[in-house]
Amino acid sequence: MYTYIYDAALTDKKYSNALNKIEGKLTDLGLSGRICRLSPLRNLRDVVSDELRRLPETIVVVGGDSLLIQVIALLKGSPIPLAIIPLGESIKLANSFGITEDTAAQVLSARRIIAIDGGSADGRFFLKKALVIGDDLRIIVDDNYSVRPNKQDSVEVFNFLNDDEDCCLPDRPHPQSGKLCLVISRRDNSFLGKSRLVDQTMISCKHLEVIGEAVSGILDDSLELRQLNLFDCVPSAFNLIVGKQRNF
Amino acid sequence: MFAKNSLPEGDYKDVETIIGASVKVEGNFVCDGSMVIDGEVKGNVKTSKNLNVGVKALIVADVQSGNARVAGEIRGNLKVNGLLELLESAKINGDVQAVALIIAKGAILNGHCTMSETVSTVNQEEIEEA
Repeated sequence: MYTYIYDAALTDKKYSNALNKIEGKLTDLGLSGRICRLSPLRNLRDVVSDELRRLPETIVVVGGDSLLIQVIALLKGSPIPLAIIPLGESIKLANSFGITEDTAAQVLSARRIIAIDGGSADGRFFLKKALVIGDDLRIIVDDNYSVRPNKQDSVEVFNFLNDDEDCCLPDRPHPQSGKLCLVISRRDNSFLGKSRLVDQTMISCKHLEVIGEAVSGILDDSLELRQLNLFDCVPSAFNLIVGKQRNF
Repeated sequence: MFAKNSLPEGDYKDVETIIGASVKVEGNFVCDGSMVIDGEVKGNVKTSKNLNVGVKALIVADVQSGNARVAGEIRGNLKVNGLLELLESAKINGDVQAVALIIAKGAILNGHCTMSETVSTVNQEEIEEA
């Protein structure tokens, strides 16, 4: 049995045609299943935990990047395959996974499943990146050496980078590398208000310990953590259904 | 995110680790890929691949690498199991062992220099153990 989790935004009339079209295709392919429609009164955490108890064959997120990221965080490394049908605003992740609105049903039917790594920040999963905030930071890398960023530097830990995000670093964060990528960047603000990257540090690693004053973080631009200490790469944390045209 | 034209100058092909000028590294700095160091490193530096030390870099450590291209300052012994290239801004205070050596005019080398067909430097097992 497939479980479809619909983004709350899809109740908007402008999506009804696209949704009908997709549902038609899924029925034709024999992929119909249980539909959970999110709403302001229906908590995603409860929906995901209820559905995990039912042991569905596949969980399919119908919506945008934001919902996919939230569901991934809630799956906590469950082996149940996850798929996305991109619909709505901000669908870059789905496109990176080789899935578009038009091809989603076929991709789902083909069931090309790959395992991707997850980032873990004090036990909480993230897919793309974690922003680390704090004073007087010292980051211990793989228990071998420590790195001290400067006060003005921004500190980020990447697990995966969308293909559309410009990256000239040779070791682009890859979700099947078994490693995280610590990136420390310094930017200066030009008079036109546009920041310019002036210095960058990039370190591939499996484990990070962050020490400092008032260390907090933001996972995948959405989940705020008031305390943050340990980062780990969790290899093959999620099973994801992807298309042939994926970017990794 | 990572704008192509905004990185500092240098050869970043096949590089796994980049230490920017703004950060300080302390400890057993071991990497199994090529490295670029533009910042400050204290402890040990080991890689079986290429090492590129930038003009602003200061390394207070013993260094072992495959090939090395040095434009900054190293205070410590340097073992290179390949070509060691000291650019005009390079400053080495320590003994140097290399298979091949190029020294540009202006480079400073204070220490013994030994050259042989092979130099016993870091191997892959040592890196994995570390």
